[in-house]
Amino acid sequence: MEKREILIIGAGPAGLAASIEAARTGAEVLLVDENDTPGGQLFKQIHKFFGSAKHKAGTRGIHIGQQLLEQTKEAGVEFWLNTTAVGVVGDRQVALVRKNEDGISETIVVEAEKILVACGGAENAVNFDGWTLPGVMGAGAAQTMVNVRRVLPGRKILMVGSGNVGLIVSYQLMQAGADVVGIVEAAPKIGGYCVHAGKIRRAGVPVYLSHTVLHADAGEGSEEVSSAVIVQLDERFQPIEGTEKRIDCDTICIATGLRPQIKLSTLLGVKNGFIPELGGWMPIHDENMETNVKGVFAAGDTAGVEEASTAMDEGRMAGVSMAYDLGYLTEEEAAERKQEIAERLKALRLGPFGERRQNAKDRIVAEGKKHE
Amino acid sequence: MSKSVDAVVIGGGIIGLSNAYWLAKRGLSVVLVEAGDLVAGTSARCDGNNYICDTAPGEITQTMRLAVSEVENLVKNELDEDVDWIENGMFTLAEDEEQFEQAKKQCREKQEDGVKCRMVDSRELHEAEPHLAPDIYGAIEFTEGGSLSPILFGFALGKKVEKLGGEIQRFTRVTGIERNPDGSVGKVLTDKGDILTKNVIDAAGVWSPGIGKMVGVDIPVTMMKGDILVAESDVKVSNRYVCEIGYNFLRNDMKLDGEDAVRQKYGIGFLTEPTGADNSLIGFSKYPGTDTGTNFEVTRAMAKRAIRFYPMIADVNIIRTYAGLRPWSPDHEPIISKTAVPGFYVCSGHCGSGIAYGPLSGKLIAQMILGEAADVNMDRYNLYRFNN
Amino acid sequence: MSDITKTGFLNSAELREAGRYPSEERLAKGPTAVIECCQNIPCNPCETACRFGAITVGDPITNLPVLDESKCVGCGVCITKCPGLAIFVVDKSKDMATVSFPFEYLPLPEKGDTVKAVDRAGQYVCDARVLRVNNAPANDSTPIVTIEVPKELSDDIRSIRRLNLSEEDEKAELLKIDDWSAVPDDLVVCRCEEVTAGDIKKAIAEGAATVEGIKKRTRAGMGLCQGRTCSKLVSRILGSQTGMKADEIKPDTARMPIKPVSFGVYKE
Repeated sequence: MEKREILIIGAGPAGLAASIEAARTGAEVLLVDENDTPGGQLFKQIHKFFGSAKHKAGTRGIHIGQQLLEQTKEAGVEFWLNTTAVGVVGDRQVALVRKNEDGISETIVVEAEKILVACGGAENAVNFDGWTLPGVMGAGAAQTMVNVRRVLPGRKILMVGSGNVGLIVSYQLMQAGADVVGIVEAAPKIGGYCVHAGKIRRAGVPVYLSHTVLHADAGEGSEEVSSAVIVQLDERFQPIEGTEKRIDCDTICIATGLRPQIKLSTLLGVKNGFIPELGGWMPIHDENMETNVKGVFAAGDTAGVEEASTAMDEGRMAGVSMAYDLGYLTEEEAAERKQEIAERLKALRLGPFGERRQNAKDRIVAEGKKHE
Repeated sequence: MSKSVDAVVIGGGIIGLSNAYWLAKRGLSVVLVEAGDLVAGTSARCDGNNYICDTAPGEITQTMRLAVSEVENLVKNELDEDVDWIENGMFTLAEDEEQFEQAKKQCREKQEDGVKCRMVDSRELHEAEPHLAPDIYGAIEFTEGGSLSPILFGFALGKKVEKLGGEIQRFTRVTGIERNPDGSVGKVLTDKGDILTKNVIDAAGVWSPGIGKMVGVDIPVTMMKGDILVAESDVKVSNRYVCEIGYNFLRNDMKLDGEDAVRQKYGIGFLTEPTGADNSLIGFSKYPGTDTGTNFEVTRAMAKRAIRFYPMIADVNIIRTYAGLRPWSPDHEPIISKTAVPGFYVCSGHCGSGIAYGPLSGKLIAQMILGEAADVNMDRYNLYRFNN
Repeated sequence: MSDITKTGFLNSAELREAGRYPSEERLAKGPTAVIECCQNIPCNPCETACRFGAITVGDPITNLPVLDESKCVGCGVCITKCPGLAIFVVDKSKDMATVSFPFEYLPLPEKGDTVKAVDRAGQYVCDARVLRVNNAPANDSTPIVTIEVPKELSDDIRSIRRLNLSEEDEKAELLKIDDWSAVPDDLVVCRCEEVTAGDIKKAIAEGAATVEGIKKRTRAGMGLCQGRTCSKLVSRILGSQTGMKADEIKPDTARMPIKPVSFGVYKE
């Protein structure tokens, strides 16, 4: 069994930021990620981020990721890639399956005084007739294909969901050379930011509001998607007969939201609260990102699905809290740092979109406080 | 106005459902009360072996044969649903010549009891089980009985109970049992209302002592944990139910170290069972424990043991692990018994054989309640046998 | 005014009405930034991008940016700094107007090319000549394309058709289907174990009241992915069949291993 002061699971924006904050104070940090490259979803984000200068606004996600990676090196964070957390074996002991450079995997148990679960979110599925055909995929998968693996998933894409993920991935698929033949949205309005919608509208992409996919069909003699039939919905989300439209497409991307990945935190004994605005069931936690299990923290999409910018600051908050709890920061230093981060987080949760999330976050923190 | 029935069965696992089935079949009005969903406890976390292979010779083996024939009869003639019944025999493996000699002895004993079994040499064994490690010496083949999915079995029993007129109240918690002035059972209190009855059967498995306490009956049932690993369905490991004989020789009084000590401490042995859904279940372990979270040290040792017998399994994925709690009695025999409280019966402590023993146990309880002669000698299953 | 959450944009008339469009007077004098950011999202890089102090967001950063048209010189630095690509530069000082816009698609047009100018809805407006393509390193891979268009169209033109698009426009063909049901019973829900919506509805009808109970009765979620894909779909069907609220439907039990691991790697 290996022992570390801090174990962070997930090297996405939250995990990276947390590791930097904690390691800079001198704490011993092990950061693990199941992928062969760090960054989580950050390196797929080739667009410029919102926010203020303090949030690195205007910088592309991929570049923010590169900066964070540099900082982990400077701060002396220990990195294990190709390492999957498979379970919990005892009090703050996590079983990890680690693949070494020769491709040989082994199971290693790491015991840590503080554990941060930052393993992100999982995409929600929708099931319409034909959703199991090749050509139907998560928008996240399509984004990985074009932005990381440099492979086009298809030529004619139908996007399901008009939240920021659906809008951004549509835009990026077009940048990669595909054509987006439409965005289908069950709600009567666009879910994501209108500046994102504006970009894809200018590119001529129709947005079918109050519509859903009725079925996807394979072409004659084919087993892959070649078209989809969409239908309009009434105000009770029931299909309106006679409004069916057939749209030719070879790929259907599903962008109908994410939910927190809670299996690891649940195995660690963390209780879950239900907050629909942030993806459903999620670990309850306080404003320091600590859960009801002392020494176990959660941040980023695992602690409620938001954005990379909020994930980074939640990670920083967890990193500072863990370092302080371990005695690497004085009370004054920690308070000052936490105050700064809290203010930035607050700024990101302003406005009509942000307020909803702030309100949701307040509820989960209130749940968390009940267990302190 | 409380409802009134002939009997209330407490517990919706295989034992409780079997009791409700027999009582309803025999024409009694019966309500089964279960705190959660049906088949949600031990019955959902066990294997489905119904072969007669490792019982002590003589009366115990004969009772087991009777029990298995009850299961077979239910599955084949009574239940309306498919329960993944597989009837292609099982192997008890001997690793070396020494174990093979022990196996021969066991085989002879079983044959003397009339059980259908025979010795299988290495060549025939490996033809039947091509993935088996080449050095495995031989096996006993048992062909009496079969295996099933305990979960499907439970739900099928539940449907049958309702079809026979029995009532099943799920998500209903028993909060107390009221007795008449003469001390006999009078009323079962639940969070969903009271039920008047003269007969209560405590079939709550590992939770049966708690029910017993409600009427002052001490039931010496404890929890004996067992872990199971589930292998992915893409790869066929074994063609039939297979277990090892060597486990029986790891006695508690032996001084062992290393791996063997872990096996001894947690009662780890090898078994694999192909399921109706093409997964392989890998067992087993046996040690005191009260939680259904799997033990990492134990499941790792089980994985290693599985590779010893089926080396190819090293590359097969584990998709899930789970643990069940066997209701354990001090002498490893079930408690199927009347008690000092008139009308209060105990049907528990089946020690990991609850699936096979369930239907017979239900039948025996029904015979007791109806005042009929029992099919087997009931002294062996009496609650008070431990007092002597 | 149209609802931007339905269209994704405000047109020039609506922007004017909201006081968010530069005056004709200012546009006639020379290039001016047009900021079409219409939602209070927390974002202010445009403010710091302008070294003339022409853009103010202030505190809180969810304020809409305000342009001081007297200070704006139309340099276009803000175009590349806006993460939402919602800033343009329009110049109506000459016979033909120019429109500058961010354009992040390959291939890029070249100076002198004739391209198809489109409006905010991507609809073709007119042909236009490319005057400049600015892809300087400081733009951070957000090229600015400047095209020449008739003055009266310059308030509506905001981009050009991508150069790699084929001519055929996708037209959704209306199709009448007489018989359908919203969630057909033969629809697969659990892909690993091939469990259908009908199987799940049957299990619920037979008393399953939890994701766990449905799993035991149907095997939905028992396969290789262990419910990663279907558990939410199963929850939804449970909710719609029973009227249970989403927060009354607990997630299924977490068990080791969270991801499949081979016996060989897992063993001691």
